[in-house]
Amino acid sequence: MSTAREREALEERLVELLYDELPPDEAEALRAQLAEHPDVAERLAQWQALRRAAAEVPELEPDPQVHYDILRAARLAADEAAGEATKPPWWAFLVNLSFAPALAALGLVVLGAGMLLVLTRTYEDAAVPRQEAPAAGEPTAAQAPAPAGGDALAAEKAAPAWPPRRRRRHRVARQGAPRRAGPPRRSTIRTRRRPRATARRPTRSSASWRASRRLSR
Amino acid sequence: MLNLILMALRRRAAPPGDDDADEVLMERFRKGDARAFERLLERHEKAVYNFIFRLVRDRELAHDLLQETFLRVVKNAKGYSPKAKFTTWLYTIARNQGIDALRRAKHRRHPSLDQAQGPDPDGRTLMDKLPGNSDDGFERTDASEIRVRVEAAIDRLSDEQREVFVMREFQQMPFKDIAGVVGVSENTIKSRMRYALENLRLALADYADDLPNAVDPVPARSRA
Repeated sequence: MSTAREREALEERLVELLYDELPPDEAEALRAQLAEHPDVAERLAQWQALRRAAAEVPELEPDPQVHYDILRAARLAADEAAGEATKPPWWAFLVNLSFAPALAALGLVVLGAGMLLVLTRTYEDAAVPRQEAPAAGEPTAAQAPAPAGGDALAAEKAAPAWPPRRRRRHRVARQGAPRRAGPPRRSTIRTRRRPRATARRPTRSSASWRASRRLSR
Repeated sequence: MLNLILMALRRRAAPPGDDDADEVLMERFRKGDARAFERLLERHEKAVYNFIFRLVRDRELAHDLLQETFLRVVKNAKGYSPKAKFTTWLYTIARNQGIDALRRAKHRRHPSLDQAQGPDPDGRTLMDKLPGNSDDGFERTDASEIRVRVEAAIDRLSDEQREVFVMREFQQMPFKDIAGVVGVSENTIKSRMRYALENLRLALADYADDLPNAVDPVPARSRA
């Protein structure tokens, strides 16, 4: 009984012995058992002979063209992989912060130049006189002759009102007044104050005061 | 700047050596080193081709499958994990290619007795390989004759037994690795190997006396 079990175990391990996949001590023990089972030993010998015969089977050489085709595809893939490997990671901008001082200096220069330009223009505006002296012999608004008759005040009232200030007109427009057709209106925001070509007109209150004075005379 | 220096250094890295493990070469290829793949191809191309040829027994088809196998290696290189053994992965791909091709060709494969067998298109036919076809029955069997008989006997093995026999005998793969490729237990592989050896022994029983003597342990084949 034990011999039958031994034989079965021996046959199961025969393949491992044939291909030398057993530890040396186990292989030695198995070879010792083979002496008790000559038929199993004979099978092992035949398998070994079979292996010797199989070793004579020649190996085939693959087609070199296949080799080159595979290599070409591999080189393309490798180039692609190398390109991806050298692509900067998302945190690469942190490395680029080393250029920050130079960028800051450039920003300061630009800012300084801009401020200098603004200040220069402001100074030019301040240097230009806002009111030009009226030409000789030309009456000013204050010296304009009053309408004949005693209804100077009525004439004052009938006179066309001073055009409202632009800001006021702008407000009215923003309150929902219909837009007029025609070319686009110029912006009401004045970026640069131009010197007035004519003398400033007297305000309404001062004109009516002067008219009332003339009447009282 | 630092990136540029690193790139230059990487490109000037030492070429892959002969002693580099397959897994190391594969890792280098994943990073864009084409020479590493070239080394892998030189190392395994012939063995994989012979493995596929033993499975499908058709040279042209074996060439196509060899190309497809390595192209899949290239394509799936990103998904390769260095923890897995490269040869196991490679032969799994090759085996799957072979099995698919066998399934496709199964319905149309009817080998004729006059069809040339083996790699040589002008080689011996199946009729020539059948035992007992000599005129006098006493024809002396030489080494090439034995070789042809062995090849024919291997071809007649079942697909399961043949793939195990080829991987262990011709590719020198341990049973454990074969189990990884085939996807079954190691004991199942050993069992298939026993059946394969027995079938080959019975198929070559007529030539038992002509087989090389097996007094000494079988030396390891020089194939790698």
